[in-house]
Amino acid sequence: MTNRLHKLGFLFLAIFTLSSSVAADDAMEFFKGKRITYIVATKPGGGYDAFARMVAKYLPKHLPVQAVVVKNVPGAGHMIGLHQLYTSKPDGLTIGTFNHGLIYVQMFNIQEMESDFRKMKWLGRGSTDVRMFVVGNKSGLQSFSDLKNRETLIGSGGKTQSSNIEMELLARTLGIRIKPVYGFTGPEIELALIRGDIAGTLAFGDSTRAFLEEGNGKALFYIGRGRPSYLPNTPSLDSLISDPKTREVTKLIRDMTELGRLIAAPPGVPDDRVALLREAIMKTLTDPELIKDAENLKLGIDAMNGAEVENRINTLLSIPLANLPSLDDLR
Amino acid sequence: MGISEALAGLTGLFGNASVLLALLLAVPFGMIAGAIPGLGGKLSIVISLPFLFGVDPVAGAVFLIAMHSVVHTGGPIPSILIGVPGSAPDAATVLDGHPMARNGEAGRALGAALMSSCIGGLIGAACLIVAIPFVRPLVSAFGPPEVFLMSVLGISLIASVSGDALRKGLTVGCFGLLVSFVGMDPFTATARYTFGQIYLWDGIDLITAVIGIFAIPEVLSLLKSASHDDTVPYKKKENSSVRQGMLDVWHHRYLTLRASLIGSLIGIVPGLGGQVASWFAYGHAVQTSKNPEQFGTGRVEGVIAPESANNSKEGGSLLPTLFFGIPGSSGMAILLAALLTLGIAPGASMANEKLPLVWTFIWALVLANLLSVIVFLAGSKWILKFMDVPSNRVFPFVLTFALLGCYLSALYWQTFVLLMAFGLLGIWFKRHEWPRAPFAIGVVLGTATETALNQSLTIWGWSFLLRPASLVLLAIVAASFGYSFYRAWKGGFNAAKSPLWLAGLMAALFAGSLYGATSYPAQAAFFPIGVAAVGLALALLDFVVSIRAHSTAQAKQPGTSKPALHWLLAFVLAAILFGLSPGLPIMVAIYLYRQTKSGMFSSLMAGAMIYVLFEVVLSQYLGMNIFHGLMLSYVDA
Repeated sequence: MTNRLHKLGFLFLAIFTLSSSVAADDAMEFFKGKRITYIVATKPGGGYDAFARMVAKYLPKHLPVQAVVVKNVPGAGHMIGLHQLYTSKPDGLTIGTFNHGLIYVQMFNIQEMESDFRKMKWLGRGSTDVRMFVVGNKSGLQSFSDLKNRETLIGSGGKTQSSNIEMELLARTLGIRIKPVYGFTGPEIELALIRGDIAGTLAFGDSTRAFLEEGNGKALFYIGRGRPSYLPNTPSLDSLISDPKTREVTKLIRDMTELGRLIAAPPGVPDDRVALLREAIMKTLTDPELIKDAENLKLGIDAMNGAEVENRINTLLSIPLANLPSLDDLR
Repeated sequence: MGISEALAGLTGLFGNASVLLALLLAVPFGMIAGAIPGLGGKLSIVISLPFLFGVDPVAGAVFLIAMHSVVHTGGPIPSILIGVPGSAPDAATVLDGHPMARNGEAGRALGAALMSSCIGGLIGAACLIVAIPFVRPLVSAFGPPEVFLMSVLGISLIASVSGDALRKGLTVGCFGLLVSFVGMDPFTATARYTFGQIYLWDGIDLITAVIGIFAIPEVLSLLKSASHDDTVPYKKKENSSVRQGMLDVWHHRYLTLRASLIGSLIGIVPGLGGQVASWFAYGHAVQTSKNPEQFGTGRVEGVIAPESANNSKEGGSLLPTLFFGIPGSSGMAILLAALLTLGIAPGASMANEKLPLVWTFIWALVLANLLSVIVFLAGSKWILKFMDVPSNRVFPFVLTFALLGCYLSALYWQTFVLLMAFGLLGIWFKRHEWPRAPFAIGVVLGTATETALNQSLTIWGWSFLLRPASLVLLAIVAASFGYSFYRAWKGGFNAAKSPLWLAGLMAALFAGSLYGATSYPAQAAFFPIGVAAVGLALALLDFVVSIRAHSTAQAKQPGTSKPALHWLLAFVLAAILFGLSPGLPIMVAIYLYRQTKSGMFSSLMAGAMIYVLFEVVLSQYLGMNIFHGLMLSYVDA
């Protein structure tokens, strides 16, 4: 009896394996000779665009498509590109990259969004980073404890940008007073730190490293897994704080910061094609030729599989808002 | 810094064949890019970057810097010849450059533009050299308060460039400011004047607005009548030569110098954006002229001032870009990213161990500007030949490039609808002698002013106005405003009355904006309400004055012919429905066949040429997105 069951089991397994490989073959067959459109939610020039063009160049090596064509769909802080990707035909021939900070917009319901990240098909991640709290030399701030008992001027691009959202979360949970100053674009914020117009900002490690190395300021703490080599003496925020509510916030910021350069497809793409795309994108992002190009372009690459990305994003989106400080007034 | 580094930099340039070759290639490429409306400096860097991989990084950087520095030497060519600016800074040259061409002085205008661009570029490079030792205090001298007050100074120039139509000029200026407020306000996350369209969150595309207001009326005037090849809008004047224009620059050497210094300074200030340099210089030229009322009719100073500033700002804006990694303009932002890509990391080290490299760049800047003169003179015969082509044959190509430029800049099809709207306003403004220059000043300075003021208020409160630097700037602003109004007052006012409907339309636009702004949070509503209220008052005043005017003298600019408007509409509709391709190539062929004496074969060939340009050169080879029309996406879905 057991023997029979075993045989039956093997038979099923064999059929399953066979059918799934047929499915994979079907998907492979589908992509053959087709063109993939890669939507980038920014204008040409800049990190997102460079990343996408690099992936577009090497993806055809790992997937039997004729070509991958980059399409720039800029505007509304990546919302237009996201929307076009989300509503495109779910056949696996349209993929895209946008600012992962938009996940906050959905989490905290900051703006109305037609897309639902839970339904999106995640194909992979291109890079990771750390967050650090940077102050200028004229700020008079030397350590984390200096932030208490005073109001600190914090610069950012705008009210609903991820840097500001994260800073507001931190301030509210840590009980420090901040006064946000908006409207800085890109490196303008570094000049404002040098001048002493603002005291600090929550910055990405990769893009602000040079600023620190030139002695323009100092990082008071960082949020991320593992110490970055360029911050030998900076404490991690978790080492300074033991309050579980704050830990919840730092975990959120850390997990978000690790989701750089996401690649996604619209909801409804058949699973076999998603699997094939995930595999091909993983191979592309670990392709030595691409790594070499990325080094030339000064783009950090740290690939993560689409299935893992999906897990992480679903986890993020299921965090009960009650565990986090309220951001209702930011809406 | 000394002679040795300067010489080392020169060896860096001449001692390396690939660097020298890069320089030689960059100059014609940059000039051509500048001459194609909508392409300009930013896109040309994006396009050329993939070809620079694997090239020696210094050669690559020299190519980019040299190319970017002469974009505005090519820019005035379409501005002067057909009145179509390639970008917002080039629009300043349209004001007097194009009337010069119409008066038969195209060669003189081009010569003046060329020479002043070159001298401006050289003065910009000199400013860069002089400023290197003071780079840190100089760049960090400009923060939000200074940027705010300099923007206000720029806005005060609206009064100068309005000529004798001060009231109308201020009205149009207010309209430009309001247009700049369209989009997402970073301070309150309020979507202003977006009518539920998220593509408007980033604001109205600047190129589209400028091409609509400035270029569309000129393009349409290429087609005066429905009849065939009989339209030659330009007079001929034998004694107008490129050489004469070049000599004009010597004649106005102090203006050239002042405009160049203004351009360099604006280039240095991060946050102001290089867009305004040419407008500042133009406004300054009008303000200091003995005959301000003649500007707009073809004064050579109106070409010299903006062109000097356009090129000199390149040297200035290299300063924050190279030494701080902070771009002084959006073009420099792309250049900065490109330099990083090539492995050249800007920053403080540039002033020390990498000084020879900086000198190589400075030499590249100098030589590129000198070389551009040779390239231009070599090509000037052909450029001027353009004047012999019947203008109704030029029409479809200019329109095609204008539409292409708008799309490449905005990357959404709705921009064609905006182009049509701004085009109509431009046509009406032109016909009824409402000055258009204030629009450009308003639209480039509006948000910069607002952002800088909001930042200053958040950080210091109103006390920022009492800082010493602020007081000095405030005094300059007050003097500029006062002087402009005094001149306008003394000069008398334009007697031409506006048609009631145009004043009424503007009043309605302002009233609508005023009403719309009342629902915004206070911080987001402050500027729109203020500007709309002033605009409304001015428009109503104009309305009343026009009713009561004793003079029946209507403005006498010729109107746009019906066929021209119909063709414009057809081209725009074709672009929306059938895309830049195949819509526009088909329209070019139809137009040439129906409107000119071209035969079926040559019309089809011209259409095919445009098709190949779009589909093969731009799309396939350069990787640009070409819009394929709503019909296609409808069929696809």
